[in-house]
Amino acid sequence: MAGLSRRTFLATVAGLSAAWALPHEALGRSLSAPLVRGEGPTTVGQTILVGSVRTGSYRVLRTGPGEPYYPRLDLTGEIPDPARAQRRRSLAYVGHLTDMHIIDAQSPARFEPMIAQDHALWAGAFRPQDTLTTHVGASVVRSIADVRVSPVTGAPMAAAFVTGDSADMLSRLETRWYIDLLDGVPVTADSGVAAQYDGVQSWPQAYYAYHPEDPTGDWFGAYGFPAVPGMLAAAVGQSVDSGGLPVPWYAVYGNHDTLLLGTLGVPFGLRELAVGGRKYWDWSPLAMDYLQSWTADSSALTRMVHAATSVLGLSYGQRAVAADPARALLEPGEFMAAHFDTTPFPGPVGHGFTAEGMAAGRTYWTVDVGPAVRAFGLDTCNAVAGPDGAVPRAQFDWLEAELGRAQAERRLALVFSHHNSLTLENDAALATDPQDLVHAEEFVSMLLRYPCAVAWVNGHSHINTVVAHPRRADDGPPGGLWEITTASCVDFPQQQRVIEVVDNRDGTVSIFGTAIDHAAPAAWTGDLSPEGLASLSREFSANDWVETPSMRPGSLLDRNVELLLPAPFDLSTLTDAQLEAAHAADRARLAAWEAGWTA
Amino acid sequence: MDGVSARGRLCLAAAVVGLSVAAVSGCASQVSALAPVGGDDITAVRNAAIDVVTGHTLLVKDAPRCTQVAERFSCVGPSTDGSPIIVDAPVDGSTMIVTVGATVLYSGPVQDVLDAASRGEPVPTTVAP
Repeated sequence: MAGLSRRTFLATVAGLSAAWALPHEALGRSLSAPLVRGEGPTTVGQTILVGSVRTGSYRVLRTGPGEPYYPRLDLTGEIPDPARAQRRRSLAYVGHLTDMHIIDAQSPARFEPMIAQDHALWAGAFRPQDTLTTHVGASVVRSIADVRVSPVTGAPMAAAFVTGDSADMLSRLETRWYIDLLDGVPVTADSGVAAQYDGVQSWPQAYYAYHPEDPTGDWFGAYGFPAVPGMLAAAVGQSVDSGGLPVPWYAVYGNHDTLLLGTLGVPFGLRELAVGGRKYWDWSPLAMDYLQSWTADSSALTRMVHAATSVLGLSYGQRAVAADPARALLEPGEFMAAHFDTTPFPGPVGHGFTAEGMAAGRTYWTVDVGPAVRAFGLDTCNAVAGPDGAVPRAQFDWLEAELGRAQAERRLALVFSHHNSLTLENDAALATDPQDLVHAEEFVSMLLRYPCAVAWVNGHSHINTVVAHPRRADDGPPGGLWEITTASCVDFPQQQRVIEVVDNRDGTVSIFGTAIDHAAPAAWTGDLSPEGLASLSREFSANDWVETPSMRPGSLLDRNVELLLPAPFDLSTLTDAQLEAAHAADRARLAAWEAGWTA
Repeated sequence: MDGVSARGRLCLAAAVVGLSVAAVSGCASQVSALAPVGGDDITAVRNAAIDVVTGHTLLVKDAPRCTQVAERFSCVGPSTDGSPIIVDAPVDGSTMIVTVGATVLYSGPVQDVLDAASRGEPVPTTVAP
């Protein structure tokens, strides 16, 4: 503790010890020790690669060498001073989770049959690992907890940010499971009849789906996917315990938390289908049912057609399943409200969303991360139609005002959203409710007007990508903005990221991005435990050809990176004592998590 | 067919036709929304081009920036020694050409590069025309 005075340090220890019910002396010893780089598993130490062919075109996975940090010079143009590694100090260390796509795979409101109509167009409607998303989610949470101490500086993790598509099909159950996974509440990914999978992966008519009991004759079997007897029963029959995140987490909306399949509006008939006792295996009647629902929505006509097709035996292309009211689709605003039903730790209640925001329908927020960094969470989703997004003008104006304030207060700004700069062009709007929507070019231009905005962190495309947005000479000081897009938990490579902002004490800032593989083993060994199923899911995702898995890890410039940029203001006014006090609070919180949140 | 007769299919089809005009107008915005997530193709070319350059142990000063003009993607960006990195590929990614300075580093399918990178294999050699 070089920065804190002895008196302040003792007072800090006493306060944190009382707050977290931690032993005073042990905490004091812990906090007085210097920061030591974390040794949790990252892709700097080991990577996961696609390995040899097992059957047909199906390949297994293997481990590969680690990847060192690649210094990105796009915004500085100069080879950085090697001595910065000895000088640097951590300003904020956070986790980034995105696109978890937690799935209730037995829901009648899923659109799996549509892949038979056009596999590429409907690729997200069915994946062979659909039943295994909570297992991956738990494995992701464990991997983030494993790197709770920075692999770069040893700083404690202060927060985690979840940039949307947390649920897959706008489902109340999926939303609950995702929140519980991050909170550390055990989850069983089951609906309908308990511990008994009933859906397209066990129905012989669904030739387009992967049948793990015997894939002979289905599309995935033809590719070479293996038989995995017992997989479905294990997937829906076991409780999954993630252990929970060790830090407060904050969430934003994704398009899958806003629209059905992240793309389509929800007519009344789909809401009935979700909780009802029939599920489609054939795409044409499913499509017709969906189209009919739009003709009259909740009118008597829609209800009559549904009743008539059932009574007259015209319900071809579907099978009876157990109705389950828990499968209800989210109502508008319900995703945000669900974040208030949470455990006290890691918190916070609302996870960024506020009671005031709930009352006003405001789905964006801001929160400070230590004394140097301010985070902004946006809602870039289009609630009318389409997977891509835009920024509503009112939200854009709010963010610009807030960035002005952050600049004046000398706070570095991290902006979190679901959509990225390649997917911020959706203009869909109702004729009765036209909206002024801001697209990528104008949005980035605005961010660049505020040098405090150092990074825009997002997801959506399921591809690791890091892009520099340089500031033009006419628009302000040299430098610019880093855009960090992290992959997903559902498609290969199922990687997430940790991000650290450091002051190099030479007029530059570095943002370290470290790709994190989830904790399950690279090579699946036949294990059907929750961890084994997470491993199997990653292997399936590497073979889900329609998702073009080989492009999704990104390049060397998109995974483990040091992103340099000029400091937007003099950071020396931020004292070491301020940072050490913040680190002490974060270290005490991690100690409390390690003790099981016994405070 | 799950116990459904051909007559049943016809009946339902007739009902659907009767509603189809209204359906088309009522869900036009939904149908038009059925588009893939944006940016995948251009990102694939960018990633493959970077894999080629870094696979030749060249350092990138400024990651290639890619744009689409008509049916082609092109990317440009300097390496650390100042040599221009130039990438050209049709939107279907069938033949990507990556040039650094006067040297053609790769000419071949985008997918071959991505597959090699995901397997930890060396960047493939240029495919002869």
